[in-house]
Amino acid sequence: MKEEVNLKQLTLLLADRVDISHQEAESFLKKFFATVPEILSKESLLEIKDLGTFTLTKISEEDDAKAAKEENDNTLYFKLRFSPAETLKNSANKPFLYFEKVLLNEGVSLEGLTVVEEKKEKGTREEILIKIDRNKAFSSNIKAKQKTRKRPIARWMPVLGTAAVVAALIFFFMSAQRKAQAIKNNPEKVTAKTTTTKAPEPNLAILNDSSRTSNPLPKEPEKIQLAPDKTLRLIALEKFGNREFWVYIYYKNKNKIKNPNIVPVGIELIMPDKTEYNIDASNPQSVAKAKALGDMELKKFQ
Amino acid sequence: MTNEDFVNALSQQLNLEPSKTLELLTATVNIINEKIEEGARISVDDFGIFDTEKKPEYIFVEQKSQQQFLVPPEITVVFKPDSAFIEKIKEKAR
Repeated sequence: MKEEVNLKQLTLLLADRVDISHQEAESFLKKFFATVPEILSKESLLEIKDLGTFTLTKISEEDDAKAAKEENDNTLYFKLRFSPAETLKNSANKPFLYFEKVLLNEGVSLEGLTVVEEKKEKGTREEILIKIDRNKAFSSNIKAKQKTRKRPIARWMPVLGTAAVVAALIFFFMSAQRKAQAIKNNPEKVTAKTTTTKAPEPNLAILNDSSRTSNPLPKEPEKIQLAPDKTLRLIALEKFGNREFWVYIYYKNKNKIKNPNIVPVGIELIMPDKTEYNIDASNPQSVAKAKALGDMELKKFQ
Repeated sequence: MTNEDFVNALSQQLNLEPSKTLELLTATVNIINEKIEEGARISVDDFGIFDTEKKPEYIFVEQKSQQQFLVPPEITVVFKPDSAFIEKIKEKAR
């Protein structure tokens, strides 16, 4: 269950932090939170250092789908976007900060994971759509002008929709065929690779979804010093019940460990929280995933 | 509007020195950052909610080379505006 911090708690924390009265802190915070939307009602951008940038943009009249929608329900659309500052981004993503994008070998398949094409990824951004009644916002002659301009787009919508469905079906059919062909041509290679480098994880996406609600963030991580006769693998075995989880200790301390094969004796290591990386020695998928990540990391130092 | 302009606007409204307003603003932002790092949700009436969302790992396909990458999970910060916040924004178009 997530801790919820409201204005009252923020007031107490601020008053304590800068040594001012509760009334002063409350008055400042109320004004601060009230001023943000006030400014956005006049300006399209507001940048707050170390917090983020709020941007408000009107959806362009040439935006096909949205424009067609506008024509139907007679409303105007704005996009409100909050882009967190680097500091806030890193604070939130601390458990995965040192994880990197890894190139997958040919033939490796990770079932259950979503596949995102480059084009689609560019379009995924956190935005809030704000609808505004056009009648109140603009005069009727502007509205008429916009309507005539959008009519051809609306006419093409069914054709574009059908084309998109056909393209999706072709893509699905082709990828299934390609996969079947790969297994047929070299079944040993495919199965060997999937078991040694990347074990299939059918329930991975579901596991991540469930962990989203529980929000496993450690508060005070355990720290240990590396004894002369210890290795990351031995610590992983002692702490997590399996040697393969060494890779998560490495990720957690990547800023201190240059090469996971050579870890200096006496170094202070921060232990990862089990929930951060879904560490579960009794779960073969969790072990297989750790092994695959470990193999990938070691390849970088060969 | 830049951070500096925002500090000046707040100073005028609160009748405070810009340096004092900056100190209070920095402390507020630091508190928000710390609470977000702890996994908390910041919820303010008439403003909105700063929350975190975990995006699961996924496979990213590069368009040109068709190479596949395993992209790690990520915890992102999202802002969900309150209805009162949206009402104020709507003033822009009226």
